[in-house]
Amino acid sequence: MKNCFEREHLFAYALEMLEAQDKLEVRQHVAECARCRGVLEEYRQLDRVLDSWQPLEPSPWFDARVRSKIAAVEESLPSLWGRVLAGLGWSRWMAPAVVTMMVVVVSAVMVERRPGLLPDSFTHIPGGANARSPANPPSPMSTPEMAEERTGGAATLDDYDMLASFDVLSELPKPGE
Amino acid sequence: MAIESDLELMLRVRRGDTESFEALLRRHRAPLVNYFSRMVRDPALAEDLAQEVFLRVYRAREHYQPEAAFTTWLYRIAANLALNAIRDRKSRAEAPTGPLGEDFREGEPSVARLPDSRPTVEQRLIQADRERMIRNAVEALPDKQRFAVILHKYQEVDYRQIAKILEVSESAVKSLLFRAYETLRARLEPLIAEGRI
Repeated sequence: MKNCFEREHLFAYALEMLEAQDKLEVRQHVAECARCRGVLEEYRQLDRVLDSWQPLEPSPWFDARVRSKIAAVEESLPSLWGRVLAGLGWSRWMAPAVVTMMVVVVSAVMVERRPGLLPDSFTHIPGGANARSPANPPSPMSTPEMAEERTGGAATLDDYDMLASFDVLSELPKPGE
Repeated sequence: MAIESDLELMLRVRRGDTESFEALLRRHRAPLVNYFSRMVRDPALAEDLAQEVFLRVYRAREHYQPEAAFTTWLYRIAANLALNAIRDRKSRAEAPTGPLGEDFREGEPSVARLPDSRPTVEQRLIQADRERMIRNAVEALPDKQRFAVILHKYQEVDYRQIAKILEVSESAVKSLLFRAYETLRARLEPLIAEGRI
């Protein structure tokens, strides 16, 4: 018969890979063409042969093994901090530096909030951010009077000209004395 | 109760629903084990690879995007794993048995492992021989042709979906299948002739 289809086209028909219009054309043709019907039959026979390759059943413990693998993966996941650091792409050596920095910051905050933790001279800056206010009364152990007693009087420290002209060599014993 | 689609289940898995993951596991474990058993022969390895697919699905659940059919995604993972396994085994030149390892014992067809089939010894031998011929013929196909045949014939995956899994055009899949079937038709002619008798 004339106008027979290519094998590839008949194959596509046999495996249902043709669009509706093409499928209809092939169907009408093979109804009248023994040769093309023979080609289709070859593919159907091959298909039946391939069917005899039987499937393999999953083992009864398949699901349990999947669950066990998932549990193992979940357990091996890094801690939240580890994931954050990993997510930021930081190198491992950065982690101790970050921790140290955090400790320093936390310590500073604690000192700030608890004035009695360190001697007053460490935290009190006259006129500064820590200047005493009614809400921030002085510690009984660090009144201005006590501070003046320890330093010998604020006037001594304020006399910068005297300190500038101080000659340490003048205090040494002179030769022959 | 309506059967939930893979997509619906996977979207629930993404939200942390483990029951939905179990449902996907029950639905796809047998097809995946079958797929891998035909790709790599070794039943133990086939199970391991199928389990690995589920593990990867679970690990990727939070990033799952329903852009394609769930099975397309599933078999893309499976195809990559199978390809790696085949390459690994091929690279082991010292493998003692066959190109992919002869882990299925000859004379023991897979049908014997099915609970309902109780063939006679003669039937088992005939079946084993047929399976060996088919397996050898399919394994001798080039990788992409083999993938296409196994996905289309045994996993019943549509050729359009196979195109997405193998990342080739739809016409390329048709061509791959045609060439594969032509080769198989020639190699399996003795079995086809038996069917004609």
